[in-house]
Amino acid sequence: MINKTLVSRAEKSADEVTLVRRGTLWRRFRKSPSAMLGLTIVVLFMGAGLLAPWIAPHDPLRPDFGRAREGPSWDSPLGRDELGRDILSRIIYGARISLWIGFIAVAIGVVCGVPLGAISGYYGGRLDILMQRLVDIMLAFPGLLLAIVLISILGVGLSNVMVAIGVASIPTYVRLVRGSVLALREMDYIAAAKAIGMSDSRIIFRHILPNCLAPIIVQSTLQIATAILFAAGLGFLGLGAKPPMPEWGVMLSTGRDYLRDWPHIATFPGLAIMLSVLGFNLLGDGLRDVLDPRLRGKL
Amino acid sequence: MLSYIIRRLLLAIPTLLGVTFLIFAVVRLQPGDPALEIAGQGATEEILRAIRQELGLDRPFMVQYLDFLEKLLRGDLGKSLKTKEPVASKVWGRFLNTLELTVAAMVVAVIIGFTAGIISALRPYSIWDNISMIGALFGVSMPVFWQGIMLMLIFSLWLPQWLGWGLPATGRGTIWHVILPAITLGTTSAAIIARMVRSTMLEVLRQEYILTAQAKGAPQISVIFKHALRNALIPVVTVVGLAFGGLLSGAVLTETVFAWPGIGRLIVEEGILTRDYPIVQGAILIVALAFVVVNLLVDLLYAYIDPRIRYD
Repeated sequence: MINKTLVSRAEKSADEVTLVRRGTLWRRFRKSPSAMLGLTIVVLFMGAGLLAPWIAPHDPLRPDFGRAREGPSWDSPLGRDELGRDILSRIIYGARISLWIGFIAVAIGVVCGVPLGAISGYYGGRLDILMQRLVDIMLAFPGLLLAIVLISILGVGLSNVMVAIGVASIPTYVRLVRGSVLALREMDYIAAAKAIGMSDSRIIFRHILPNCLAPIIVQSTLQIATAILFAAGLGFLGLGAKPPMPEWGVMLSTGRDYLRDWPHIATFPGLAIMLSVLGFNLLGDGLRDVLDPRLRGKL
Repeated sequence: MLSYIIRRLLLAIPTLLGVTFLIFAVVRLQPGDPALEIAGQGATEEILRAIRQELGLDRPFMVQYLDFLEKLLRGDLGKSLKTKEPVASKVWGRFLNTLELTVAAMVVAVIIGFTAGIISALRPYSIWDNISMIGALFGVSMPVFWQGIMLMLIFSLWLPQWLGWGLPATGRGTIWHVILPAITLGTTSAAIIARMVRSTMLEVLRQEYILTAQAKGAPQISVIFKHALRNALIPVVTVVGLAFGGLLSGAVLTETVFAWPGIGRLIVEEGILTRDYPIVQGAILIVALAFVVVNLLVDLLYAYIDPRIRYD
């Protein structure tokens, strides 16, 4: 009984400290122009993706052969593609696809990688050795190549791209969380939690994982950028989304054939990929500086 | 040092075995019957059984894996399902082409990355620092394939029109052919290296031994390269090692843009898209093994640069 009261009182005061800290973090985040620029770009792309049906000036899939390959104009600010479809509308709809891939892939990485990393670091021993060898094996495949290996099993297609990129990011999360947990499990408050009889799962989920949140949030933000780049790359290679889907990598791939005379077809989708990735990278860097400055240069 | 090398080599063996097992399992997990792929639709059950027997597909999984390992040690990676060529020779030739591109890209990345990083660290918050760090940020955010297309547009399409001289856009052969792909592939790594060199150099330059070196009148160039850069190298070597993996990944895309006959294109165009699994298996295996070997070399390099690691 005494133990339970002690636990709930300690947890309540910890929550109050977190609230005060949150306000300070936002003030510090706001002071960084690059972080705010990153946030603005991310919000703009997310807004574009969410509101695509209402803000896109034209139908992204409807061809207009009479206006094929037309340059930028008032009606189509980014011009028309090889089938006369409005490039701006396709980029706006493409934001929806790219961000969706980014979020789902990161969710898969977090949901699988974080608990595995926490278990590996918390329990240690043979389980840890076994899991780390498995992670070593997965990390022996350089980034995009691991996703390509997975696509060769799952088959070509957009949903498989999400799964492949998500699974490819699991080892990164396992390593990241394991490292944090190894340091945290030696802390006095974990020993205290054990001493008052708290269960392992409660210690992991209530006391260890919340303290690993900073590197997980930062890594996830940067991982969304990587996922967008990988998804576009796979689309470009013909292993991801398929035409006529307005996916940025696919748009770039088809635009390549018209490079000599109509470079705008390939230029704007590439700019969209770069800007969105830049936004997430700036946001990730800003979050890292605010949440955990010790990580500077490591993530 | 020798015992460290032996220990590190022994530690790499389980990883290498794991990699071979994973790739073997991936190919066996492919949907569809390989015998049917070879014989084509409409083949009789007898023909299919004969093919399965010839390929050893009717034997237990682990027996097949051990057989695969034994063949691998003899350099036999099987035959292409489509062309019937031996996979090993095909994959090896393509891998050397990719290695050529990767090494060229690494040279570009190290030259640009170190120059930008050192300049930024020596003059922090100056205009040069800002330019190189903004450049680095764009470098890590730019999709490799888009950058390749843009470089191609400028140097292979527009420049010949304006000046009558440009760089070749596709293929492999002369030193000129490698310039655009190497810059394209090396940019992201250059950006990562520049950021890392800057931050570690800034940290090292604040150390007291740098002040001591300056106080005793050591020339600035010796302070920068002998005292600061050497101590800043360890984390940078990690990043350079990891960058190699990034380069192998990026090579798949760069090779597609510039029609470079490398292993990345082989995996995608002649492997996955045509469902020629022995090609996929052999090519991915060689790339993964190369990455493991590079990581091993990086670890040994650490121990050489920083004696504390080998005594740990």
